[in-house]
This record gives sequence, C-alpha cells and structure tokens, in this order.
Amino acid sequence: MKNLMKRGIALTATAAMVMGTMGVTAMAEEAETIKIAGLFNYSGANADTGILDGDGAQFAIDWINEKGGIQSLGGAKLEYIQGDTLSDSAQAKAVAERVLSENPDIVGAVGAGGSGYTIAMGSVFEKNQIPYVQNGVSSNIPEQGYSFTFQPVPNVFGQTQIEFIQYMNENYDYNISKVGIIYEDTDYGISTAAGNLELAQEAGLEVVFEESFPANGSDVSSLITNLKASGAEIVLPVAFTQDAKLIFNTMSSMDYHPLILGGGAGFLYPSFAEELGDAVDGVLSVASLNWDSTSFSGDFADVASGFEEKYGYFMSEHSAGTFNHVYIIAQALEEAGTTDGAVLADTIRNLSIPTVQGGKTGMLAFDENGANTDASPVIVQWQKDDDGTYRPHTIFPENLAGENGFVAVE
Amino acid sequence: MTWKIIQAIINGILNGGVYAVVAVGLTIVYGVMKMINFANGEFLMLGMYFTYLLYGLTGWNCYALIPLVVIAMSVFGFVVYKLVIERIIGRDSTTYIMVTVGLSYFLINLSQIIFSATPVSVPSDIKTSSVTFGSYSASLPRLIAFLAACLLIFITWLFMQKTYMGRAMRATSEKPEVAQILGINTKVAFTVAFVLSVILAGVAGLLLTPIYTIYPSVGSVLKTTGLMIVVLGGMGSIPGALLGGVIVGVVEALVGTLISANLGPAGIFAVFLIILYVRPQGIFGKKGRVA
Amino acid sequence: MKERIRLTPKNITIAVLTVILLLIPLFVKNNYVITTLVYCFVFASLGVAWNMIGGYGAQISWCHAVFVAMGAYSSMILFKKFNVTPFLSMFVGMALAFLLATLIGLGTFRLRGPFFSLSTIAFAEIVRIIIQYWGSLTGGASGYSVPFKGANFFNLMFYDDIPFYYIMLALLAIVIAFTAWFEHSKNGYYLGAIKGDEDAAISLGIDSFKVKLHTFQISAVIAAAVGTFYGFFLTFIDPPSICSLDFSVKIGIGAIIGGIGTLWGPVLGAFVVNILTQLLNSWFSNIGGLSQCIYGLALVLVVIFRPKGLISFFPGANKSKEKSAVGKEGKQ
Repeated sequence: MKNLMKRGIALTATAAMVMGTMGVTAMAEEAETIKIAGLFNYSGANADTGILDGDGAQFAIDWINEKGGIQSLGGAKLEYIQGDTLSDSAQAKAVAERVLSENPDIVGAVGAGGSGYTIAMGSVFEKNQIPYVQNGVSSNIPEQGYSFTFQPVPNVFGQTQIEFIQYMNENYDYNISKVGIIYEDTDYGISTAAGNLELAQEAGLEVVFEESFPANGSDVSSLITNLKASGAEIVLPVAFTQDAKLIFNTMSSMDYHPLILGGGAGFLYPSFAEELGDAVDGVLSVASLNWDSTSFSGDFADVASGFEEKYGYFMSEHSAGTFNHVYIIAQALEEAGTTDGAVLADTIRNLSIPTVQGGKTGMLAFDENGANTDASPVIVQWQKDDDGTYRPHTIFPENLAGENGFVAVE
Repeated sequence: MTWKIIQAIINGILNGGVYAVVAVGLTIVYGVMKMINFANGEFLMLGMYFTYLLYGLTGWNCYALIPLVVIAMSVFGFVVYKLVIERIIGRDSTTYIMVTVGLSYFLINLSQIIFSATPVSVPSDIKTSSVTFGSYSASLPRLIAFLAACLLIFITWLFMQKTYMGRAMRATSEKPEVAQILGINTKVAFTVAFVLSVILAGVAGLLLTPIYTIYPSVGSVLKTTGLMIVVLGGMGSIPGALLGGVIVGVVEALVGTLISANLGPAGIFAVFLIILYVRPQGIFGKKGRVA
Repeated sequence: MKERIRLTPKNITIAVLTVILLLIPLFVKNNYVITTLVYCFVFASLGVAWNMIGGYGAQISWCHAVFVAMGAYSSMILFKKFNVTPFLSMFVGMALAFLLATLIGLGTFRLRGPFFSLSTIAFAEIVRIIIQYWGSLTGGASGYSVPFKGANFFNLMFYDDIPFYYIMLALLAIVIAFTAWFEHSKNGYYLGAIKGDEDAAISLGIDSFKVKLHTFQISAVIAAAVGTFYGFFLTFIDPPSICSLDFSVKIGIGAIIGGIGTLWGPVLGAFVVNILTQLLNSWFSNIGGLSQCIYGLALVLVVIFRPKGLISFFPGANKSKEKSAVGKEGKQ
C-alpha cells in the first residue's frame, strides 16, 4: 500500500517536473540580439523543401548581420530560432506556441512551406501580435483576414503562364493551341493551377486535358496515357520532386514530347536538374521569383552568388523567398526603430521598398489582408551555364528577365 | 479508347511487378512468423540508399550491384533481427506492429540525419527508355523490374519448396510447436525468413532506383498497397503476391485511366475489400478459420 | 455489481491529479503548456475510445482517424454553411461514424486473424480519398477551416485555449467514466471472455460477432464526438492531418505504449507520447529528424522492455482490469 502511495506521489511529481521544465525553458534569458523564428518542415515527408526554406532564412540573417545588423536599433544583430513543424499541420499550432513560449522575445517569424501550416499557425501570431511573413502561395491565406500574416509571394500563377504561351506564339512562331493542365491534388497544386483553365480559354487556347493526380503516387502512367491521347502541345504540370521525375520520365518513355511549362516547386529544385541531367535543358517553369531576375540587382547583387557559395547549390525559389521574408522583417525593424509587434506589422503593411521579389513595379505593396498586390510570377528556363551547371534563368516578363533570353526549344 | 484501355493494362501489369516485389517479402514474414511488418517500406528505402552509395563507390550499372546490395541488406537484416525482432518472438501481433512502426520512424529519420532529406538519384541510361510495339509502349525500367520480380519470386518459391530450409520454414509457418518437436530449429527458420524478407525489400529498392528519386520517406509510397496485396494474394502465398500485385496494378491503372487518376488508389482498396468479403483467405490462401 | 468509491491510493492519486489539472490554467499563464495539455486530453480521450475495441477486444483498428474526421468535417461544414452549433451537429458525425463502423465490422468481424486490422487500413484510405476527391463539400486537399465569428461558447470559439482546456478535460472525464462503466457492463465481460478464448466464449453462447460489432460502434461514436471538438480546436483540418493512417497509428501508439486493456494505460500513454514529442522537438529541433528518430527508438524500447505498457510501472493501476478478468470467469 505504502509503495503504491509512493508511486502515486512519484507520478504526480514527474508530471509536475515535466510541466516545470516546459515552464523553465519558456523563460529564456534576455538577449541582446533580435530573434526571428523560422518555422519549417525540417523533418517528415516535406523535409526536402523545409531545408531549402530554412537555408534561405538562415542566409538572410547572416547577410543582414554582415552588413551591420539593424542600424536604427544600434546595430543589433539578428538571431535565427529554428522550429520544426514535422510536416504535420495538426502539430503546427503547438510548434508555433512552443517556439514563442521558449523565446518570448521573438519579434517576427517566417514560415511555413504550405498554406495548411500557415492557416493553423496564423491565429497564434495574431494572438501574440507577432508579424509573420510566410511563403504559402494559396489565396486562402489572405482570405483568413489575419492582420499579422503577410504573403509577399504572388498567389496567381496562371496569368503569367498563359501570357508566356501567347508571347511564344507571337514572337517565336510556336502556334500552340492545345494546352494540357495536370496538377497534384494538394493545396499547392490546386492553388497554382487555379484559374488556368478559364485564363487559357479566354486567351483563345484550347484546353484539351485538365486533371489532378494524387501526390507521391507510385505511377503516373495512366495520367500520361490520357494526356498523350488528348494531343496537348504544351503541358502545364504542377508537382514536387518525385512526381516531376515520374511525369518527365514517363512522357519520354511513351515517346511523348510536348513543351513543358512547369508550375514551380519540383520543377525548380536543384535536385530536379541533377535527376534529369541534360534532359533538363530548355525546360520551362513558372516561379514566384528567381535568383537572376532584375530584382536581384543593386543592394541584392551579391545575394544569389553568396548563397550558392555558402550552401553549394543555387538559390532556388524557396530559398530566395524566405530570404526575402526575413529581409522584409529586418527592413520594418530598421524603419520602425522598435521591436513592438503591432508597430512592426503596421510598418510592414506600409513598406514600399524594392525587394528581390520584384513584380509589376518592384515595390512591395501589401493590401489590408497582407497580400502583396505588386507581386507577379516569372517564367524561367533551365539553361546550362559556363561552369557546366544547369540553372533556371528568368526569361519573362521582360521587366524581370535576366541577361539570358529565351532559347527556343522544339 | 481501345488504345487507352490496352495501354492502361500494360501500365498496370508493369506497375504490378513493382508492387509484387514489395509484397513478396511481406508475405514471407507473415507466413512464417505471423508478423505484419510496417517497416518494409523503410527496408526498401535503405535498399535504394545502399544502391546509391555503392554506385558512388563503384560506378557500376545498378543491376550489377544486386549481389552487393544483397550482402549489405542481409547484414542489416541480421542485425535488426538480433537487436530487435528476436526479443519479441512469440508475442502477439500488436507487438510486431508497434515495433515495426517505431522502427520505421527511426529509420526514416536516421536516414534524414545521415543523407539529408534532399532527394538524390542513381544515374541510369535507361530511365526514359521504352520498348514499343505498334503504338503501345512499356517503360524499360518497369519492364526490367517486372521481369526481375517474376524471377525473384520464382527463386524464392523454389527455395521454399525444394530446400530443407525452405521446407523447415513452411513447417514452422503451419505449426511452430510441431515443427519444433520434429527437430526443426524454429529460431533459425524465423531468422532466415526475416533476413530473406529484408533482402527482397532491398532488391526491390534497387530495382526502383531508375524509376523513383531516393529520399528518406520514399518507402511510404508503397506501404499500404503492399499490405493489401499480401491479403489479396493469400497471406503467406508467394505466387499470390505476384498475382495480387498484378491485379492491384491493373485495377489502379484502369480506374486511373478511365475514371480519375485521383481515384486509382481507391480502386485498389475497393478490390481488396470485395475480395475480403467474397474470399477472405485470398486468391491462393488456404482456407482460414472463419468464426 | 456496483463499486463504491474507496479511499485507495489509486483513487487518491487520481483525485490529486484531477485537482491539479483543474487548477493549472489558474496558475500557468503560458499558452503553450495549455495547448499541449489540450492535445494530451484529445489523444487520451481517443486512446481510451480506441482501447475499447483495441485493448478490451484485442481487435486492432487503424481507422479511428476516419471517425474523428467524420466528427470534425460534419460539424465544421454544418457550422460554416448553416451556422449549426457543434453541440448539435456532433450527433451527425457520430451517426456517420456509427454507419461506417457497422459497414467495416459486418464484413470483417466474422474473420479471425489480422483481417480486421488490415481492412480498417483499406477502409480508412478509401474514406480519405473520397474526402479529398469531394472537394466541393469538404474543401478537398486545400482543407477546411471555420471562420472566426467572435467568441461564443455554443460555436466553440474563444480568444484563447483555456475554455478548450476545460471542455476537453470534461470530455476526457466523461469518456473515462463511460469506459469504466463499460468495463463492467455485460458487453464488457463478454468481450473479455472472447479475448481470453473465443471458441470457449462461443460455446457458452456468446455471440462474439455481435459483441465485437457493438463495441466497435461505441468506440467509433466516441471518437467522432471527440473529433467535433478537436476540429473546432484546430480550426483548420485537411485529409493528411486528420484522416490519415499516420493519425490513426498515433492514436493507437498512445494506447499501446500506455498499456492496452487497462482503463488508465491509454491516458498515461497519450500524455507521455504528446509531451515527449514536444520535449524532443524542443530539444533537438536544430537537427532535422533527430527528435523523430529518438521517438521511434523510444517506441521500440518501450514495446520490447515493457510488454504491458508504461502502466505496468504502477501495479495498482490496472487492478480493476484483473478483477474484471476474474469476474468474467465467474459470470460464465
């Protein structure tokens, strides 16, 4: 009996201790640095994009610190606090709460590699009044009406893709009329492909095939069989690495070679080029932003090269995006001269500065829901550089296109 | 339309080979040990990474690496057996499931720590090659995987039918107590069955390297499908795994082509449930006990 | 057979812990601790429900996520489209879960062996694919979220998580009380007898099929009820997070780690698993994968070295179960 009592007490004590540890870690010491949280999928099924995201954010912190930190706050340095959302959106809220409770002095956050995570975490940042600049491309995000969540990346991609098809038809005699649209059945796929059908039809193109497919399936042969039968001359696929590989290789093995105008993500990763080898030459894709756009000039001229030197791979869309998001928070800190969350959020909303995001005018312009109305996507083409490495080069629209132009492919 | 259907059946049969080679290892451990292995997909993933590493060392064509991958996987399988599985022999099926679920988390994340989550691939000259006949085409790596699956399944079947060890394993699977009395070392039979299934998963991984990129959670793509096939074909039946794999592959391709690619996987599970209701012991299974 | 509440050490411990849990929100102002405990309550309730069929019935289900999803989706959809309070719409989810459980059970409880377990996986995948495919109703892969319409108890919407803390704690208490009653109900005894020796139970006239089916239905309905509250707590749900095999496995893991077939094992397991996940993620977040790697290892070690679950560290805790095992023989 006594023994049992002891065990009961032990259980209670253990519980109290666990709670205690959580409380103690919550009281982090006051630091002189300014903390910015990065909440990404560092592990789990989406860890490959999480790494690209995280590297971009970490690089931005270092880049800003090397340039002297936040001048208006006495040259304060930034510190990166990493949080792992585990590729599980049901856990995202708890992760955000944890990182904030362990570091109550966090002044801004970047995230999160998918709109599900952002929608789940948005309320936490709202409650804690911490500006949260995120990279989800879904238009669901601004629709939540959060006032501390910002979306500097574009949330409409189809327009640019269709404009580019018209540009090819007009300037390069492509005579493309039949379009095939395939996208993975995830929020990313749906958001990226949203409206493509209507836009293409409005532009006088014939959409001969439109279908989604399950992400990370074992085989896309059925899909490609139907696509080939439809006779599409250009295909707009949205997929991540594994499916991008399957789509590409299955098309080749079926001796079907339409033009490919990818929907970002898997078509932009360094591992995509590694996988395809020379076959990647000339492949097109849409992207939120790209490392050799004209927006990467002036103050940002050393960003892409510095990143590649440090991490050993070129700065992809994901890394460039999170770089920009940390940069936006830093600029707001610089301008506001305070770490107060509410003031920072207001400052971000009113920021009108050039960033690497680029866009119609190149100046940030957030609306009341935190969407960047200036953002517009770019079209990139994989081209071989002098060092023998394939990288995506910006070719469209003209105000953002880099030095390499479009190279017509068959 | 006819072209679509025939092409879908070709696609389905070939993908079925991929499924079959995944399922055959599962069915052996189930047959002999009554163990449902939730970590099979991770053994397959390790087979892919071993192929990747060995390719980096030797530069050989991936199919030439089969003997090396077999050696690597058998060492790995033996270590896992000794460290983990041996300790839970004789416990209930829930224990097997939990241990293999834990093992699967462990292996996925250990691989991420070692190899990072960035996908890698093994270069192969044939990954976009295909065999064409008329207007129909069959992807060459899938065709090779299918034929290799048939060969592997045949070898495994021969081993189970014709060798002393194979017969001992089958005896153990029928009635472990009786087998023991007859002088069969059931512990050895269990070890061989488990290591064999790990090797088969590893070789499956190798065969898939020209088709898929390699990343830590790649095994989950085939996880549930493998289990479905094992039941379809009859739990413990080796030819059943091949037939189950092909059925599942063809159903998925037909549903995917004719209705919607999104519903392809649902077709697999629907067929599974239908078969389960109509013939619960599976196509090749021996009649199970029905309550 | 009524049991009086006696002043045993076990009951004292439970009382003390309950009081502590009731008081925590008054003293702990850290929302993270509150949120984590809400997750613990949710998984504990689900674990206890899962344990009815998985533990007492030894029929391992890998589809409880589906029942949770039924509760969450139906309530959230009815709220968003027709402004129905979740306190009413939860019954829709419960009814759907009942139907699905019946459908699964009818086909598989007549079979022995692992067929039930495997067919739950297949069923769950089909339901997940349908939810994802039926985007016009469920939001498909984009997920479903309820808009914040101001704090209102009947809409389950609050400015912080403390009301949820008490709601989930109350729900957990109800589920535990119900299960304690169920353990000693006729159905509970029959289930124990079937688990012990199915043939013997049948020969004594127990309709094992019916008993298993009823238990599964009850377990599913409870999971759906918890799902309604969980959905409103999360405010955003999508098929991979709420209707996946991973989620079902996580529910089962908590119960098994804690100790299946006992009343308190699944509760203990849910707390340990959730708090461990959070602590590991906090300590090792700088190396991607390390926290989950250790989690997997811990899982393997517990199952190997604690076959009866963590509850076996507390020998008094599963007493009621042992009693019921005796009772079942007496009853037959």
